[in-house]
Amino acid sequence: MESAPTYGGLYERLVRGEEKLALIGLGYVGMPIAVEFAKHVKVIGFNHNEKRIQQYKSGIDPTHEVGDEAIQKSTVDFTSDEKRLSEAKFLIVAVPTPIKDDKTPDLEPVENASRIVGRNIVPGSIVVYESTVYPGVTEDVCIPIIEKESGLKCGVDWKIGYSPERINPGDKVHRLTTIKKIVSGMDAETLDCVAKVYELVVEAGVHRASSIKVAEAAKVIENSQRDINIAFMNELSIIFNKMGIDTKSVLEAAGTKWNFLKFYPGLVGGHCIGVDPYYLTYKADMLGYHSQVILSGRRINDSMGKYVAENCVKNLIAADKPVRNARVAILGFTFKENCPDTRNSKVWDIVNELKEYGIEPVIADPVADIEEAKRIYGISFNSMDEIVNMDAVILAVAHDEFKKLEKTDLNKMFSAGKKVLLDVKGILNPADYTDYSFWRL
Amino acid sequence: MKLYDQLVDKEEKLSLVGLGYVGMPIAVAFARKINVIGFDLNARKIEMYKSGIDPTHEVGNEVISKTTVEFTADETRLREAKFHIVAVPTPVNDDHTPDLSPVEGASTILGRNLTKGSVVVFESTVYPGVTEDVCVPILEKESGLKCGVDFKIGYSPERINPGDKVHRLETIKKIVSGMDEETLDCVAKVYELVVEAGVHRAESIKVAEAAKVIENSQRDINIAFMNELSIIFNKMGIDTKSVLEAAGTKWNFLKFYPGLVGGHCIGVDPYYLTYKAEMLGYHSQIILSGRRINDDMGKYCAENCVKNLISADKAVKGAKVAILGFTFKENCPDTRNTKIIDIVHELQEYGITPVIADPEADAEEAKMLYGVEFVGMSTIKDMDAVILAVAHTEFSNFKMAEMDKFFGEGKKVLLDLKGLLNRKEYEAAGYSYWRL
Repeated sequence: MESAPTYGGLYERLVRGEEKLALIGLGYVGMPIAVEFAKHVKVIGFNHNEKRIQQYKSGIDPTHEVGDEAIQKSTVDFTSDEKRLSEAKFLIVAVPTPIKDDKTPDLEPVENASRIVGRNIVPGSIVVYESTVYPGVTEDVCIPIIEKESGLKCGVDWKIGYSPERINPGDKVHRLTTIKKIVSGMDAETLDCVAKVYELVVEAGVHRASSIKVAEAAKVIENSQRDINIAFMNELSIIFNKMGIDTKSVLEAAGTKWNFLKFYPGLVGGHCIGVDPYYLTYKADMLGYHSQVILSGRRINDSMGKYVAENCVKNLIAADKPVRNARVAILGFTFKENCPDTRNSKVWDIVNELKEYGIEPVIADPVADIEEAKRIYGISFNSMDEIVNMDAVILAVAHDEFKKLEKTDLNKMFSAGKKVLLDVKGILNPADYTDYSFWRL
Repeated sequence: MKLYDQLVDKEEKLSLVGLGYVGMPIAVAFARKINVIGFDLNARKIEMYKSGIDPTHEVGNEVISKTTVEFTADETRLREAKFHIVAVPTPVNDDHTPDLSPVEGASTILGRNLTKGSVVVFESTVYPGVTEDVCVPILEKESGLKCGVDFKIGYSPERINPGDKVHRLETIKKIVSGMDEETLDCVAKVYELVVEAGVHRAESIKVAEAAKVIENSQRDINIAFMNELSIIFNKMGIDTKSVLEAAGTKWNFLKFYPGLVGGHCIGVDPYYLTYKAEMLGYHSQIILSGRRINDDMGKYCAENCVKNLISADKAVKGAKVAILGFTFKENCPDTRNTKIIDIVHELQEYGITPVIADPEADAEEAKMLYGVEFVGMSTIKDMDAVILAVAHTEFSNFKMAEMDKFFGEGKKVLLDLKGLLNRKEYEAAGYSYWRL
């Protein structure tokens, strides 16, 4: 007679090395989790990208999150063979949740990962999702897929939980081990096991959410809050620009109040802040509520690239330069400073808007991943010393290398006549550029 | 710099125009250092101050009785002063446009009594440009004096948090600005006399005006975000408070909560900014969408009361509903700009005339402004629904046994707008419990 699997001892069996934990997805989220767990329990690290697995095996960390040395020393058992997942009883899914061109959630990576889990899950397992989703995805989308693929019943043959990742790429202070982690489970037994397992690696401890949906909701609002606050700053910047008031000076003054929140205007790109809010509004829309604040924030942030381009054109006109075929350079193309990632970069919006005014900007970014930019956007970068005879320069990303730019460096980039300079990130001192046509957000 | 020294040497006087919850603490603080004239149009208020009563509760009766502020309702006494601080309210009209009449009125009075060599500083929250484009012309016209030559102007926004004993005039860094270097320097030095936390010298009057008007707008937006989340999670059947507790464990999550946004600042200041933006051709998106959500929350609460009555199988028309709390803020008697009146009006549209109890509220004011008469707490019984609307300390300590007594037969519908009670406890006891 077959007895129902028990989960109560799973944590202990993991710790004793009698059972294994598996990571599905080894990107900038999954990788640090795998490496950290491998210090305490047996870990299988699965990724369907064979090339990446080979990199990991040869001790290279392309995510830069843990470093080559940590990878080399790690006992994570890297594999691209999904069948090996059947060796594990505690499965953590850490795959991306992007959006489609129409800004609706693209659940394909989560669904694919669920199919892989479903094909290989064994009775008595616990599956935990880490991906950012709208409330309900874990229970309403993932469970049915795993059940169908495995023929096993959730709640009986296996259990499910959700524990959102809070990794801040590039941040060395707030790391997996030092950020409190939200955990949730379909029932008290699962919650307890998930909590204990994560407590092995998260020194800051865990927060036991009252349900999977509460945990999903908590995660999806975190980046939305940031998005809204940046949108507010962007709206202020637009308003103060019209009033002829320098926004940065206003924020400096307001920042002297104890409870003023220090956000700054700017382009919102990347894979989280500009993306997560759509997951929430998508689900709200399905339920008949059309978001007002969240979507208006999204609209503003999404239109800032266009806004910067327009102000470039207005400044060219005010400086008596012909717009069509004006020579404009954009310095910086990545979505974040000092980071090679160009995916979801909003600088691309500046480029496209300038083109509509008959301007083909040249772009320089010594930090960016050249191959990726070429593949995704079809653009080639110029080197910094090729930036000469410009009518306007747009300083778009706050790379350390750009922060070091002296006025003499900038002077060399321009042609004769008024120098139009757009300092999108506010890294220069406007007092030094009074002879320029200087503009910032 | 002469003026500053003359003030300190008590050869010249400082005046406060407007002695409300902003002007009063300023007058009293300055009077500890220099000679101060405190002017208010309201002769009755002046009499109260003179007899040692502080109706604002900001400084207290003892301080008022001891202060050396020369209280007066006689505007000609302003001629004795050379440093003038205007601290009058800046409300909005019914159509949400700025009501500048108090600022204009104060400028008119001050203009009539302005003497050569004076510095005038405004403290009121305004949109950028009001000080220079609205106040200066009035002062010039009434006085016949020329700004920049005969008198100077500055702006230093108030940051007083009514009822807050930690963040006070002395302990909050103060923004100062002036029309030129000399004025800025004088204004900065004068305020440094009383503000221990120091001053921030803004580069222009407009920058200082802008800095002030965005502070409360930021709060408004963040509360609006919480209210929108509450609406969304309510539709999803998720308890918002639990979500915020979980999200709040992240180091950079900002702890705001859903609720009604009333009062004279947070719900008002954003309109000053959007009004001016609109004049310049920019129609605010996020600030106004935040305002709309926050302004709709009273209606939203009333609708949820009705929905809960229906699902509890109670007749809506003529349902007995009690609202506990009516002020715009907890533990404060002020009912002006309360959003709870929106709940009342919306319930009335569904055929429900709620009874209201608020042991803290100024009953006279409520009657005058809204025609509302409060009932005693002990008369609340046989209710179909109770809406706990304000987090007065008295209400926070409610036990379920007390709550039980408010209700009649059948399912007890309880709306805990501020999330004061333990949801699980009330649901376990069979309540139909709802919160934002």
